[in-house]
Amino acid sequence: MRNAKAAAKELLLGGRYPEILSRLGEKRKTVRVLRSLLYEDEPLVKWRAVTMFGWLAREKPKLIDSEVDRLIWSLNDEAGSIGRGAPETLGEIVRNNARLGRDGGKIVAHYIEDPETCRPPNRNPEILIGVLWAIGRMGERRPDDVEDVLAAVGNFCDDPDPNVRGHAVWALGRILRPGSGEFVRCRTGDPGRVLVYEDGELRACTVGELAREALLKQKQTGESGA
Amino acid sequence: MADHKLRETPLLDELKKGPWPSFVSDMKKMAERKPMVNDLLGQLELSYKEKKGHWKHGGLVGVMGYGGGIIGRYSDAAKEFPACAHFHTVRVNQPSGWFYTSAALRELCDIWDRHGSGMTNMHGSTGDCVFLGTTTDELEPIFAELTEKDWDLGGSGSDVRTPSCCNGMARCEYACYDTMDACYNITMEYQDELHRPAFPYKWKFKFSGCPNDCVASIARSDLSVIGTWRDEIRIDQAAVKEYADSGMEIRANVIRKCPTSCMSYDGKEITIDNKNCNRCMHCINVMPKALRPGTDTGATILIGGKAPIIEGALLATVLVPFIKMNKDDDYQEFKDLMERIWDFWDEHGVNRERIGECIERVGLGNFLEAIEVDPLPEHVHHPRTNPYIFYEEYFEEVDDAEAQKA
Repeated sequence: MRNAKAAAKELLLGGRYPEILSRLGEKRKTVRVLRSLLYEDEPLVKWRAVTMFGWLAREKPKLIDSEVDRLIWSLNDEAGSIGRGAPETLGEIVRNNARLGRDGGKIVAHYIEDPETCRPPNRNPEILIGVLWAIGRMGERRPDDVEDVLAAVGNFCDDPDPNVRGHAVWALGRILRPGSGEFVRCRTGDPGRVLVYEDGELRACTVGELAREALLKQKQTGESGA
Repeated sequence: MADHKLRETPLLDELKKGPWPSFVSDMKKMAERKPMVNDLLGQLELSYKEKKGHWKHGGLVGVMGYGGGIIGRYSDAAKEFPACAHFHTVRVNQPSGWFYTSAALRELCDIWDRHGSGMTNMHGSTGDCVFLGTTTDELEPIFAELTEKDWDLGGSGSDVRTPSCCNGMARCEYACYDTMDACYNITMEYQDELHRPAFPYKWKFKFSGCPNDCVASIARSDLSVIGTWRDEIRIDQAAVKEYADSGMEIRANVIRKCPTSCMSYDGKEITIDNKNCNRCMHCINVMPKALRPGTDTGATILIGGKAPIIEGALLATVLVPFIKMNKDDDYQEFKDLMERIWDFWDEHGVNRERIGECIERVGLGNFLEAIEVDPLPEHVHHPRTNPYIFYEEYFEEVDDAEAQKA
């Protein structure tokens, strides 16, 4: 297991996703190794593991057909596990294979309204950011699926935590729906620093930069944002 | 004196009456200096009054890098009892055999006094040293202090739970292998599995040094390792005579209580038909000076024990009748077996299904085949009740016959 984990880490950092299966084997033990990497302290390893689950959902769905249930359970476990990385992974699975995880997508999206997960005073910022990221990823492909939580996402655009409001802006920028522009426009001058994972890389930027990019994208694609 | 108003708890106060120690008395002592415990008493009083619990379902809390070890608890009566709005539990991996020095206990209590309610559960049914009640903000500082002093969190969620063992060779002459060493070794080997839940459901290891099974591993663990021997019970006939001379009724209290009737006593000496001994330990427990386990020792591995949660309770059943628990090769034979079992569970386990339930679903034969263990008489629970059994040889014969016809 230790050797498999070290190999998987190296391959994830190299972005060599298909090689993970050829090196570690096309079996569920490899999926367990990837689940374990969702808890990694090193952010890029964790995020690339999330991407790998999306790749598996697209290329090898049978291998992860029980993962959606397990990930949802990890967010609701009575026996004390935190479900670290679960929202992002569910979002990435749904984005890449809606048939495999559509129910999981709806559940994750609606976590944004859950008082125990995302609302103060008991919210968990890490899980909240994962939920926002998942909504952005799922909504980019199928905006209708997340339409009913967009207002809730918008409310996080003025959150005191720059990472939270940055991810809310980033998510709305991906979805490009009428009505979301107002939330984003308010943040164009926001100097708060945010670390966001996109296109397979971690990117450090300001909330303002993300807001301006979102508005530009809306303009280019013709959404009114009104 | 408390600088906060102590809660009135007339219903809980009833539990202080009578001859037994009361948790209410302990909590009231603590409530004088810990507002969290004071509010906890208030909330408990409310629960007694309303006959209703006031803890919400779980909560997503933890420390960086770990997926388990912390059990989130939030109060649904936080407005009324603000000091226990958060009441998270921290599981601390106990030392093997639950041996502590007094300095280690003070260290743990000091850490907990600084960051939590000060209340502990020594020990939880999981085996861990359990810290009861702290806030989300205190979790990382507790973890930092614990790890700085070489403590670690235990397991929770769908991971390997903190392995536990009896105190084995440290105190007990019956121990057939070094349980504390095995438990420590396995805990260190499976750190990733312990801290990062990635299994279908929880997995518990328990190590008992002899068939007395003082940690109840057969009932309370998925993988139970029980010390045994494969040679003969050692008999000291002189000590048998001493027991008889001191008035022990050997026939009544030992021979007739042997569940397999494999013992006899002629008034002078005990003889044992060791092939029929089922290691119940009764005779050894009753006459420890005269009877001792054999010298060719190791362990029996049993699988599938669990308490009732999703399905009913299961007792573990024999998987490997005898294995040498070999320190010198780092328990490699045991670990190889574990890898094969987990590979199977990864492939076939259903979410929230313990390994015992999984084996019941797929059938023991299929399980054994998958983990490359040959079927043995020890695997049989009871004689079969279904007469319609077709062996592989039957189908081969049919195929051969049809091939000949063609």
